[in-house]
Amino acid sequence: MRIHIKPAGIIRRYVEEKDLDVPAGLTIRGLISLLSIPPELKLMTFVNGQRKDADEILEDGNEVRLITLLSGG
Amino acid sequence: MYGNTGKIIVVDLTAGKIEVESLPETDYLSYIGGSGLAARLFWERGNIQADPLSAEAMLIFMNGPFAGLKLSGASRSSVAGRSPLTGNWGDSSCGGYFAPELRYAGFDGIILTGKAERPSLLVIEDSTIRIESAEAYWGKGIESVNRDLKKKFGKTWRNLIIGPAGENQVKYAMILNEAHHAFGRAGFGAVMGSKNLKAIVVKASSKAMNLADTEGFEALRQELNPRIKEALASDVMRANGTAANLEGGVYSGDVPIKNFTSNFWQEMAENLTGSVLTEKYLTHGGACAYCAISCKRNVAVPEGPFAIPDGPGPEYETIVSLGSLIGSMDLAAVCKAGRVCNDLGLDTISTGATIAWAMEAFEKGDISTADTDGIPLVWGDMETVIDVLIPAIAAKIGKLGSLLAEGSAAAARQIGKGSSDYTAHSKGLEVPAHDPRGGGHGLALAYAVSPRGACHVAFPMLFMEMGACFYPEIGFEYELEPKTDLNKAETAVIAVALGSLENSACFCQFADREVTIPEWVDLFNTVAGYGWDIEAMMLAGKRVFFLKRLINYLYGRTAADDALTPRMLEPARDGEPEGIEINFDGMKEAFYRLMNMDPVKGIPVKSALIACGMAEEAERVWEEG
Amino acid sequence: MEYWKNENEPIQAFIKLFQGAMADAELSSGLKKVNQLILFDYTEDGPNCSFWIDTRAGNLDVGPGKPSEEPDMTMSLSADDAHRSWSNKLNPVMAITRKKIRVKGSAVGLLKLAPKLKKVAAIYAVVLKDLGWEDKILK
Repeated sequence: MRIHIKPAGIIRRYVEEKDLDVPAGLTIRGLISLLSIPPELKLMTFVNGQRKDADEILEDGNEVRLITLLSGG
Repeated sequence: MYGNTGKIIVVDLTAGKIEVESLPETDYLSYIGGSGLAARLFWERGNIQADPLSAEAMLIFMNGPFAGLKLSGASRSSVAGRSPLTGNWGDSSCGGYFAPELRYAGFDGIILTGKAERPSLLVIEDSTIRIESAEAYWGKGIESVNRDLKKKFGKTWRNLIIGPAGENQVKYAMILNEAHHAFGRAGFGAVMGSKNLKAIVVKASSKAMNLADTEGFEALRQELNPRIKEALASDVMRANGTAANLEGGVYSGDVPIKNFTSNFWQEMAENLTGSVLTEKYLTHGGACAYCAISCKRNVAVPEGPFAIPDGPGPEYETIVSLGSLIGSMDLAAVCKAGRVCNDLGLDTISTGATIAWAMEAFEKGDISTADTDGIPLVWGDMETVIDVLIPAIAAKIGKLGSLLAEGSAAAARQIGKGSSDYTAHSKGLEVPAHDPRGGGHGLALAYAVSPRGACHVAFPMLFMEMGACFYPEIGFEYELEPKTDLNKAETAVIAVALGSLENSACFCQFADREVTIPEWVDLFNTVAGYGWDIEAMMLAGKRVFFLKRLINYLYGRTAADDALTPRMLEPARDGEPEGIEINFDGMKEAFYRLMNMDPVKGIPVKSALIACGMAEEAERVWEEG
Repeated sequence: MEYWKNENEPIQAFIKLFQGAMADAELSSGLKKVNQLILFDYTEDGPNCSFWIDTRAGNLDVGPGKPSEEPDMTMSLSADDAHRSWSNKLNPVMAITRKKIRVKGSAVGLLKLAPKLKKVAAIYAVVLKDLGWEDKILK
């Protein structure tokens, strides 16, 4: 299936905005392991604008926004 | 004495008297350095009840034990005393280049009382200290005075300078080192101004330091510097500054918008995030002394209404406080507004927060053009902010300038009409650019219990909420979920001790994220010979927190003052945190219980103080009978 | 002085400027709201270098030198800085903050005028042209 990745903030350094072909039934956790995002970044994921946790199963056409909470002073 | 020099400069500006004193080692062992040691000295010898802007007020600059070391993040120092903005204990920290130079010159700190007869300059050249006239500089902006002092004394002389805002005793006036690094918060620029002290300059002829275990420290340094340099967060901030992830913060709801009335603004996120500053206006990065992170920004805006030449650029707090918080997403305007605040010597956080409150008050009709000398206060009107509001505040011009120069808490009290409900502060210090509703509910607790007022750097709660910390040795192994109250009180117990330690050691929180607890102990022992284990070290941190709370108690601050304004506890109206309530009372009650703090007085119970070795201090606040 | 040959030139220009402002509907209404007797004092550039405006009680009047009554506000600055200010090249609020303009009395009137300076600058350019001083116009 095809999903659309929308990185925001510093996640853009590791992943660019793009369409991605992924196996059906892939979870968010599975998706993150496919992308080369440093594991120390605690991620927050939104699917079609809604916050979802790592076990959420993705569907064809989903727009997946990835952010991290890392912030400055 | 190792690491620390054991010597402080004591100046009576009224008499023009300068002395050098030695401090007992027990002071350092008990209160570490920086704001902790400053609290100890203030408690012991300060005129605690003196009006902060009176000649009797005591102003303290204090290094930590690591000043002067060639270690990333160790070049910070503290300023402390009674804050003119809040009327409570205040402290502020600054990076840059002043701390190492003061250390090399042979001193840990400077205590100032009195008021000079005319505008003055304190000159420290190794052990020769003198007061000179600063009349030629009085009235001038920090940029030009920095240039003049470098020209007069030499480029490698390091300085602390106040601007017109400090001279005019604006309640949130700040102090700059090298015209770039700020003692930003709590109004200590006004205290310097009230003492007729325009600047302090320092120069040391040798960088020699005397460490307890030179080889031991060197091994640590060889381990820590590369780790700090190569850390992911360091890489991110070197590239795009401290606002590198502002866009992410908008999605999490951490970034405040329009006086905390909104938690999501997509277009703003795309305009103000750090990579945009890099693309459009960054000329070069910058660093504090010996730091490999290099998070500072230098910018130039080549054309347009907000054009500015190459010079210091905005950090995250400034970008939000003079951007989204006041309804603007104009990055060029932020750059200019920050530059103007720098030159006039105004804290960008309190300036933005006060203007944001005023804009909302104007929108609601709680203030009108009759209160603002005919100036309309409109969200995002950056021309008015830069051309009228900021200079009017700095010189207290008109009704408008005089009102806003007091800070949002006092201004709202003056206006009344329930306008205090939509200020955003704790104990009079305005909330910084991290909204607890998005950034983490634990921040609400941290803001409320922080001695100086709402502060995100007093304790590492923000870093703990974002998953950047792991300290199993001191019991922090939680994976926190930001928008809940789970484990937040327990975390805060650890955070107040660790944060007070960091703040007293004057170690940058970007660099020390990479330092483990055992390495902290090693640092204190190899550098300063404190002879600590983990328990003793954390106890010192806790002790510092307790002492600052006791000072506040002497100002009449009790548990009731560990509060946030109603605006901060309203559920968010939009964005990721929409509709979620903060269980503030629950977290606070649990924190007090775990800390053994009296739920009414807001100070540790007598036995808790004695357990920290504070029997003498306990006597002063807990009377017998 | 950078822009003026003698102490009379700036006063000539500024009085004409205010006469022009008084004839403009928006500016005259704004000036009346200021409701003050204001002395513009450039005597650092010459003993006669000053003028006054009276916007009290719904009237508008302007004249050279010092007013017969005590002014509500006196603004002291150089004639060159005044030229820059009326040309909208010098922010007057900032100039006060930096002590380029010294204010005696209530500065309230000044803050009220600050937003109007763009319009004033447009009139000022026309005034300078009329006086044959186009070369003085600041771009």
